[in-house]
Amino acid sequence: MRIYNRYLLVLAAAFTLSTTLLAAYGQDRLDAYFTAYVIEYLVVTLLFVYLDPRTRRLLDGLGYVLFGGFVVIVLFKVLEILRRS
Amino acid sequence: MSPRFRLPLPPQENRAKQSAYANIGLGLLLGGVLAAPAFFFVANSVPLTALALSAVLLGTIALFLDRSLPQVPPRAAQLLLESGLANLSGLLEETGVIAQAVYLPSTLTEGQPRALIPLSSHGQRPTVSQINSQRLIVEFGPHPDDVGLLVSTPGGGALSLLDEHIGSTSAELESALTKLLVGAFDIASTVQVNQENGLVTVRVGGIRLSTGILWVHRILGTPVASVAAAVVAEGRKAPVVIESEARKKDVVTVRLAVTR
Repeated sequence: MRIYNRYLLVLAAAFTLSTTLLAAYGQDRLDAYFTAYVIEYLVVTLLFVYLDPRTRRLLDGLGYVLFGGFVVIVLFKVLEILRRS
Repeated sequence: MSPRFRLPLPPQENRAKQSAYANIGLGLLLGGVLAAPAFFFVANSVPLTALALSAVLLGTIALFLDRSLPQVPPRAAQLLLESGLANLSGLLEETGVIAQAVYLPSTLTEGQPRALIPLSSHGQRPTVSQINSQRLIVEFGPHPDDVGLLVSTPGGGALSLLDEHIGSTSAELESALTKLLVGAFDIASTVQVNQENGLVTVRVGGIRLSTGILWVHRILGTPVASVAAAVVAEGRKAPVVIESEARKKDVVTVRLAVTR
């Protein structure tokens, strides 16, 4: 299962790197971290194009859920901006 | 019960033994769920909370990967493959067949792609037209000598794992082979395909499948060559013969001749 191991390792490395970078830049909003994770997840999953079709279906499902979370964050941001104006 | 006759464990037990993804997934998920509130409310640290959140995400992904593992464990699959090939090898050796198999696309066999093993070759490549029979012994040409064995191959079976149509260009063949050998079977790391004057060269890197020396490999090729030949035959919609197969460390180079 080396392709699965590689996939998990790449994701773990991407998450750790983005957390370190955002923390180094003094980011203190949780939604910024979550957005970075969602983008990284979608990009890495897209790059591993040769995953087994069954695995891909499951990961695509998780991608929809995460993207839903991202959309909710964007909606809250829009509402916040509208309330201010 | 003696160890010799012990039946394989049911898939679920085998999977639990083999896969560490479930343990890693549960560990990360529980650790993340417990650590996130502690980091957020007690330590008041957003980066650490984010790290816990990423652990939850990775744990969920690991659990998903565990769910999508094949139902038949790799060792059991290898055992089934080896025993099947050993039986076919014995049959071919006893019948004295030495001619190379011709891999046929599904358009020529009316169903699953198969390989035709000519019983007498006279040192020439047989010209195969449409085969309308699904029997083991079939006639494939107008001459009385044009009789062969129509067999299923590991490569022919592998094609059922591909969802989409296989194209005939090098890139399309490479994509289909990578999906099978790297993605579905996870027995190789890279695949390269080159086509030149009816000769297709498939270079498979990072091979992790060891095959013994069997008579059937001289006729059908090793399982990797068989997959390559079946994919090329299906993509080019023409009969294909394995010209040569060479292994150097973990790189296998298969040369295939498209016979039409």
